[in-house]
Amino acid sequence: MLAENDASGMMDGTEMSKLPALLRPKFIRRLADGRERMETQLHRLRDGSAEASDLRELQGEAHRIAGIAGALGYPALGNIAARTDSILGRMLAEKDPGPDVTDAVRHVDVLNRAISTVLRTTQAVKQSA
Amino acid sequence: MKILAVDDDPLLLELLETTLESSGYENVSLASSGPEALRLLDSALKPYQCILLDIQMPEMDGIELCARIRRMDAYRDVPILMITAMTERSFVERAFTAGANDYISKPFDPFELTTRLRLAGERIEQQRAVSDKVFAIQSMKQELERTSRFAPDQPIQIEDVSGVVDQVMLENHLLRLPRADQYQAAAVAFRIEEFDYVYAMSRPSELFLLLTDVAECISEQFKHGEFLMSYAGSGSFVCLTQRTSPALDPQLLTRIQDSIDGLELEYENGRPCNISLVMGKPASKPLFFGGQPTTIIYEALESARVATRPKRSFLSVVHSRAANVG
Repeated sequence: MLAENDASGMMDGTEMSKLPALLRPKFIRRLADGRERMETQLHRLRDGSAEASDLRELQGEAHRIAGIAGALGYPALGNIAARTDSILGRMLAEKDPGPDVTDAVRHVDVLNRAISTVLRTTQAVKQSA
Repeated sequence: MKILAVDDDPLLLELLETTLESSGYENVSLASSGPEALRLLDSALKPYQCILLDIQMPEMDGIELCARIRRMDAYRDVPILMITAMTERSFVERAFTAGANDYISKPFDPFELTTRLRLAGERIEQQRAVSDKVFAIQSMKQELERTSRFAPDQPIQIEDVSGVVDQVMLENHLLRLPRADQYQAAAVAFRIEEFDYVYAMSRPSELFLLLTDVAECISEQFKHGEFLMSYAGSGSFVCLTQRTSPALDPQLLTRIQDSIDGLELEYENGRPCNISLVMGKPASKPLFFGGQPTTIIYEALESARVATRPKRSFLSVVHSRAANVG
């Protein structure tokens, strides 16, 4: 479960109350806006047509999610994004990514699915409210 | 506390701003890139008191930005906190090398952020207290220099040099000598040429040390006989010895000057302080003279006042320098 009520890394009520409620919808919107692009880049990564600019963009997005998700109540998503950020960064630093590509595909895929889960859960919470 | 937060993610900047404001830090400025941050820092009328920097940013990363901020005079000591994701921990060491004081891990915990900021604030207070003390000490030092500045003609007391007494004591000594000894006494005076220039170039404490050095060089030449000496002001020294003192030979001034040259005196700014000494004719009380015995002191000083420096041949200068080197 990756949504904001994830008990594994959920901030307590006092801390949550300090966080700006307005920022979470903005964060969710950004996740939704970037998802299609991420899926396209993931597809290119799988079929071997991805360019360095794709990797850089993917890493940038993973880095941004890693930096803020935890503070907004999505720590699990933040951890997945941090691992993806790390592996893409390593790939970009090396001239020959080699076997890291398979690993990168797996991590971006996990991140993409985690984003889907967060978006789905948020939608469900909205509808039930 | 006036804070500048720099991050390329507008959402994170918004989160930082809101978190900081909800913790009571209301004077927060935001920049989304290194160049924008530098522009804000440059144009700030009142310097920022704390800077939060993201490490990974396009164009100019937080480490380079940190190093550039540290090169700005107003931000040499201001607390800089790096905001870093777990994956960037390897950059933390570089960030510290670039001048960062602390770091906060992303995703940051608001409590941790405010604690680190509180610590940074305490550091600012401590620095302010230290700089206040430094300022107070500098003011006291300046005041001391101002009040301790003596007039060029003031006969200050030179201390810890063998045979040196103040001029009143020198005169009293002469007055108390048995009449026969008064006739045996001789006074000889030395004067620092262009003393007004040396005076103007030196701080009081510096001038005091310089006069002490010159007094030591003179004293050294008289140490084997009876002698007393005092500083008479205006760069003049007067020595009281005996007419028959072996020190009073024609090479006396040369030996003293060589000794002074050997010290290679410098002003505080590193420029050489070339002290040239002139010597007056020795004065002594003529037989059957009925006046004050202290007259010889003033005669000697007057003679030094009008004395000019004997020209030294090129070879004598070379020889004296060679002797100093040896």
